[in-house]
Amino acid sequence: MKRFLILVLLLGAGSAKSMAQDITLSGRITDGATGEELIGANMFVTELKNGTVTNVYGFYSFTMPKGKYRITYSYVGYEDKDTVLNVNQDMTINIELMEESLEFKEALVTGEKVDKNVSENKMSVVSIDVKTVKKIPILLGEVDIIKAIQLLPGVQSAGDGNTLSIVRGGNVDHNLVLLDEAVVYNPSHVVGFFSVFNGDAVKDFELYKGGIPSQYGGRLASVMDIRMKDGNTKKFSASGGIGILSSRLTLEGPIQKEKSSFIISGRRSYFDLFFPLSDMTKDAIANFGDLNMKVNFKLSEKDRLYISAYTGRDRLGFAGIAGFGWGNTTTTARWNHIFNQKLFLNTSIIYSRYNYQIDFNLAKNLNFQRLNYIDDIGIKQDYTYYVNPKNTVRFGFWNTFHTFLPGRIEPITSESIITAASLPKKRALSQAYYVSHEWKPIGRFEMEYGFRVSVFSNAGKGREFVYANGQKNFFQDGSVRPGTVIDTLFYESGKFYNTFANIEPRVNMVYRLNSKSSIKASYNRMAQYLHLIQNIAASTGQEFWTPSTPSIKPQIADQVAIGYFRNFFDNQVEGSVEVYYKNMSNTVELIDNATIDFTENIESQLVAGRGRAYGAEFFLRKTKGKTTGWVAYTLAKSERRADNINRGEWYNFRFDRRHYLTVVASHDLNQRINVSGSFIFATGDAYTAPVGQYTLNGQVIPLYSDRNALRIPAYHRMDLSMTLYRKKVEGKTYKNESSWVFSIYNVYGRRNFYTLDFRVDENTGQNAAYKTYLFRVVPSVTYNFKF
Amino acid sequence: MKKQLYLIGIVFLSLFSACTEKVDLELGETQTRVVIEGYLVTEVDSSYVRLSLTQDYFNPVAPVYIPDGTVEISNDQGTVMFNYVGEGLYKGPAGYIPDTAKVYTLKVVVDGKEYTSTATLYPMFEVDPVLQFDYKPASGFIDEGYAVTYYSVDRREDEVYTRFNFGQNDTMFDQEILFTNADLKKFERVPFELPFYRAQSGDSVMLEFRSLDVPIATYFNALANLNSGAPGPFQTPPANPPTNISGGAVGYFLCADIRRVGQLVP
Repeated sequence: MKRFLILVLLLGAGSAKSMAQDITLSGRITDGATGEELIGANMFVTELKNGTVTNVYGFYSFTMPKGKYRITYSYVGYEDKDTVLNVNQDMTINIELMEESLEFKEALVTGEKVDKNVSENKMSVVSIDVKTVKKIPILLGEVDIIKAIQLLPGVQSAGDGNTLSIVRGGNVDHNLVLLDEAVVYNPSHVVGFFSVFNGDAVKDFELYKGGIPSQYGGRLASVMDIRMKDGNTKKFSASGGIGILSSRLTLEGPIQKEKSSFIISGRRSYFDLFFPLSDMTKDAIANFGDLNMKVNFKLSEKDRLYISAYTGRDRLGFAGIAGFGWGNTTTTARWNHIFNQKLFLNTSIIYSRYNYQIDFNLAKNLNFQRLNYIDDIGIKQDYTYYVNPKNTVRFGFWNTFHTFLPGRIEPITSESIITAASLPKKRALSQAYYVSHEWKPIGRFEMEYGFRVSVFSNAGKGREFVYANGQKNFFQDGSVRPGTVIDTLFYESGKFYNTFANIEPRVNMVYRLNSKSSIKASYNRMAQYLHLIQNIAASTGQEFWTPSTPSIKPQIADQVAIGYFRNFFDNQVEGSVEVYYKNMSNTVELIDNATIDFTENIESQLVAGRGRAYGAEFFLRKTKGKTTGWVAYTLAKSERRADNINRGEWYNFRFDRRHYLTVVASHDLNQRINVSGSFIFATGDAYTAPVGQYTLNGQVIPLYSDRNALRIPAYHRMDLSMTLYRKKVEGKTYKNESSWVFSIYNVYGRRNFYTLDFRVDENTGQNAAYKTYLFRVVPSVTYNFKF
Repeated sequence: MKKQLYLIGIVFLSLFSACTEKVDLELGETQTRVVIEGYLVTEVDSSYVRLSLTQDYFNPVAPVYIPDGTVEISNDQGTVMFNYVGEGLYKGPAGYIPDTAKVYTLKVVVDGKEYTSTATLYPMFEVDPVLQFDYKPASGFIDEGYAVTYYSVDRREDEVYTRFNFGQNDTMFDQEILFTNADLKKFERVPFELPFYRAQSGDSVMLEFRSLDVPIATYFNALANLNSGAPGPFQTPPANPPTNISGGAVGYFLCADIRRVGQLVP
């Protein structure tokens, strides 16, 4: 670390000497209509054939020799802005870009526009702009960024209509989901059919499935970084959508024009409205709602303050007899400070909470409520030092204190025979310190390398169990069984009694073969200290998070990836091929017949496994013109291995899918009508099935195969949508905008497996297999408006 | 408007109404294994051990019993031989009743291979012989009728599970409930209302309690949690329930004290 900092200082000193006459141009690039800061906008100096991009706060900094330059500012979907500047001293230039007009949108974009696919030193990154997301046909017409991402290579759904994602063979808990830097522990509403992210409140998102920068950590497979809109600083506006099952409304505007703004965006489902229409559902409760809020203040030219919050809640139940609910709450307070033209700092204080509860009210004296939660409070600082055009250094830290309540049971009424009980809280401090160096030594080659030091400490008050023969579980009579607790170790409040530390190196590099093609490579090591304990794949809110402890080691993953990137037809078509190999250790696997419900010594139900995932991802995307879209194909394999499961042999990961193909197309028929479609094909999931049977006390009991030894038939589906925009007359400006979105999910009614059951056929008296399928042809209509 | 709302409702319900259909799947073949069902209970001549073989899942043939095995059950008082009586059943001497609060060992030999198991026969908790009936109106999906409550006192120190079943008019419902005494109040007389059940006047209500030790309760818990199918979003990774028999057989050795209570609803 010390050596690295010395190197950084030397770089700075060297550059200061060699570029004594250099000046630095910095500023922010924003949307001219709303004042929203644009992330990843380009600043390009024609004479130098070099430039930079804005960071996640819309800030850019570029150092160059004194002189007169033509500078182009650009951003996808926005009109370029050219300026000629006589640069002879450090300058702050804030730029506003305007969205492309319809006529301009149809034209080909040429000129100095940076070809990100080929030239950027980023690979294994998935992103789609929110406008494209809104055109993609999605289940029940709900705008859903996660489901859109699942149409891109390497990211797959954990089931029909499910928002939980499988990224390059990782588990669903191997994905770090951040909303304005706060961790969202459960990104699903309604058992996974909807994501918690309201498309109207999202400004930008990126998903890293490899080559993960060193400022991110804590999960093995991916990072999804979602940024909420800041709110319109120029004028008040409202937008929303009215759908069959839910509606949404967003209000935003200036608090003090051009200096501060707010945004508040809410969604609410109204499934319940239709439940009384059927005897089957009249006593059911099922709803969700969420609210995004944000305010930002421009304190000075160098200081900005952002405060954002999210809260969401799901509630499912039946007739007051049984019910469960879950929700995420996050709050982030961020302060941006520009020390000088070259040094940018963001400081964040972050709170995140995920909780769920189950209620059972079976009788007046048999009722209880069970609660679980995870609470995070953390502080984070990210520094960016723009040393010179060839060197940028990023460093910072992120420390979080976690509190876990694994479970608490309380009787609902005083007459209940259930006694109150609580599993003791668990506490842990996670610390991470990182530094990275973005280096552009020659025109064709760039690399960013760095490392992250992560430290995780279990804190008292707490207790850990000691097992007979040191075995938290053991193999006997064909099954893994929980170990016997022989002693309990108690730790006093505030004492750190167990610490893990890992160094996580990260490297990304690109070598541009020519203006149309490049080769990229990356390596990252990731450590994961929090684990989702889940005995089902759907998100019902019954799953819970638990920390690494002396008995649950941190999960570690090493991933290497290499890719060839090529653009065609004057950058209208982007292509890439990436191959990757990921090795995982200490993966958390449930033992056979695991009991995770209200189990304090949860480690006795887990075994540490190994995992390996490898594959090739092929991607071809047309980004310009009336017709846009992509074809993505993934050839992959993902396996697990653990002592005492399948005799310690490698076995299929449940979501191992050899083939995964997606095709997405969108066509503007004219200025009013857009038609879009998507198609998915996936190899069927691996599963465990009865391969024999026997009878005990008159009951037929299945004899099961090895874990995940069999495979269900393939999944495929086609969706279509049409967006009808309000009629506009050329040259006229409109205060109001509106559109109708008509979509059909699963157009040809494929009966894809949702569940597979084995039971006796009442007609034949023999065992039979039955599949349950959820969605056949699902039409929907949504009305969107903005004024 | 009301008509449109109704139509939307129908559309919604059809969207979320899952459909099920029978499918053909190739499951492959598996090796045949010995099945042992050991059942040692405190009712006269009710204890038995049944030996058989596993069968194909989709195409089972007639049950294959094992008539030539040897079966013995022992405790700290001695060993009792169980003899073959047909249809895979081995039974002890006439009038045999095991004692409560004892640890029993089962030993089975089939084709020279030995299978063993150990289980504890715990006494049941005490249940009042008189039930309480309270008339209640219909609520949710529960019809009106008499709620049935029993009173019990548990004086056992160890963790013991109860497998509870009830029925009416000579028919047991076979909706067995498994619960532990670890979370319940001990040494107190506590009421327990039968969940979701309403009896009518003139019905004969029957309750049946069996004590189980932790390993066999773990077996039944695993069996209950075992969804018959996979994969699915609401299912545990299926696996064979953890038998308490060593040697490679499937099945269990169950020891239980049985208590029954019955009463006519006034």
